[in-house]
Amino acid sequence: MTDDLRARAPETAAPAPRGGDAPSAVLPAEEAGHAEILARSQWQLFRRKFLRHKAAMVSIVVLTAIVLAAIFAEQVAPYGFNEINVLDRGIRPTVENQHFFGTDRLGRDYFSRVVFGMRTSLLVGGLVALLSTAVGTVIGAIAGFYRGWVDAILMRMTDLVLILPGLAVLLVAAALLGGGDPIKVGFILAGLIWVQLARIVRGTFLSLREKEYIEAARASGAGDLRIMFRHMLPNSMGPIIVNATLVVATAILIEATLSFLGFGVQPPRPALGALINDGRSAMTTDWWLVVMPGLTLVAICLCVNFIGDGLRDALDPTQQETV
Amino acid sequence: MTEPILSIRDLVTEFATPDGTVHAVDHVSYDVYPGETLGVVGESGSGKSVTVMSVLGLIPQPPGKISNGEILFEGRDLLRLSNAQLRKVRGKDIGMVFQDPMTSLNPVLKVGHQIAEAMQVHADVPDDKARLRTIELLELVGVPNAEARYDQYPHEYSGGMRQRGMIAMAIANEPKLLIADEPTTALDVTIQAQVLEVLSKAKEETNAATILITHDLGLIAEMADRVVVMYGGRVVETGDVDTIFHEPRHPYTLGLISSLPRLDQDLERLVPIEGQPPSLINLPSGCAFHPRCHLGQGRERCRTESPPLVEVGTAHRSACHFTDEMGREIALIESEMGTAIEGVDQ
Repeated sequence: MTDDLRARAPETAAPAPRGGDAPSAVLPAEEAGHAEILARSQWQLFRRKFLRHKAAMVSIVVLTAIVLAAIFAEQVAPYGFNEINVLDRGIRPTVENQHFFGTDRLGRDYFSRVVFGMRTSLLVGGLVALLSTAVGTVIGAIAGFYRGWVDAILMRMTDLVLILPGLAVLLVAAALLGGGDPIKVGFILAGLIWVQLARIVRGTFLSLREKEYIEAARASGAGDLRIMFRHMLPNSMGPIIVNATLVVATAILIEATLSFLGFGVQPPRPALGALINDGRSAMTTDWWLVVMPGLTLVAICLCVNFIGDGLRDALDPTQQETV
Repeated sequence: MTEPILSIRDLVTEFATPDGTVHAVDHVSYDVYPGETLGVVGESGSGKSVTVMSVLGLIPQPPGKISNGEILFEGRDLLRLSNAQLRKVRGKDIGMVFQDPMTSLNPVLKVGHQIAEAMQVHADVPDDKARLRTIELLELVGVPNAEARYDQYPHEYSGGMRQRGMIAMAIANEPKLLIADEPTTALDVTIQAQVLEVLSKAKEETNAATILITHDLGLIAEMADRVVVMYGGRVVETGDVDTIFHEPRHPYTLGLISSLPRLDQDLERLVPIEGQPPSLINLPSGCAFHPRCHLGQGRERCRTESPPLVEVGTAHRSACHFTDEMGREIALIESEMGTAIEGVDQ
């Protein structure tokens, strides 16, 4: 905390000279050790704000742990996800024999199943975020940049996707394509989710293309592609990154819904939604079968959303730090 | 006389608006000769900027449209070039300095990169060479500590510094023509002088012809060799800078000069131009200046007949029906001001 105060003190004493022409002259009384004010770059400002966002920082730690656990599931899980111990059936959560989340009625260790389930869910979430961000950004960028009939066609296309009853389409697509594979599920979800980002990026590009620095770039001979992807895209990274993190959570939840309904990832591969569905029949007696994967799901989604929040706050230049 | 490097002929640029078509540039012609500085003056909305935007092909279409004329740059008609061909001219043969340095640099890219990019768009320059050349350019335009400044973002630059950066970007490819669109309007007076100095230096270094767009007559007096005065989308007077300031042959030019405060003389009072700049949607009939004109006094001919731009002296042209009465008008204004109008240039 003292570090924080020290860092802030110069700011309250005198506004930092942005040009940085003669930084040392402005602060006569400051101790020599930290008298110099360094002009902060965009990135430094962003990092400062983000590091101060407590919920986001906690979430990053938790999510990193979850992701690592999912990646190294074989090492982390005390049992295999399909390993049956006939002697340990229906055990409550306990540290004994490392059944942290208890076992199900077949005697499978639920902690291990949840860890492997996280792997599936995160895979789907990450894949959907990646795909939908790529597609949405490109389509939104082209529509917003060229306007006119290009915009009209692309936007009617996104409207079309937007008005589809999502769940019904997902169920049909999963049934037709076979939802068993998390990669396939990821592609299907991405095909529906890219529209939000396309609209956001289109809006950003519509306003960016009128900026003077875009005209200046044009006047210096830059071509369309260069202007779009080198000059305008970096200026719209804020909303894109934030949207991508939020999509991770949405995708994980939809995948869980699909699995819960039996159309998502197929057994024996565990997924968080499928685990909740499995436990449903025994919920009144073996509550941990629903609660444990449910809590994990909530934890993942909360973390991702908090990180998205933190990113949004940090990337928003209009939001000033409060001292 | 040498061939002009840029020759604008009968240019008409119009914009479609909900209230009708606006002729922002209405049959404008002027030439720019190699090495000279041409000053273009006029009020806001007189078509100064739209003319040069048309030259660079930067008029948004729609709603804009160039419906007539030709723009000859080194003999080639820029209006007939394809987009790809035009792109090779922009930034390479014609450099542009924009009005507001605060908004003309991309906030998320390093200033050095933006200048280097201006080079790399047009030629296959390796990154390290572009960097060295950019640092040279930054030094040339007087950015101190150029090495470190290269890696900074626009918000770390002051206004004057940014305009220096913009000038560096404009001359990066040693253009043959430099267009400065009100380069000092957004800057402090003290910084203005510095930026003008840099602009002159940059011009010397590259020997580029320059179009200086401004509504500051002082700037024109100091920098320009020849002057084009625009009003309501038309050229109303052109001539070399001394002629324009000493013997204006258009009442609008005279009005501009006599409304200018002077440091070197004790003026009784300034003489403003009465009325408002014309609305381009509804331009006055005949001579667009007639409702505000002292000389015309609402004469029939002024209201009905648009005056052509005619020769009134050596390389001096004016668009007024009654140029021969200007001598009397000047005397009148001088008596009102209590001083001679000439001598604005230092």
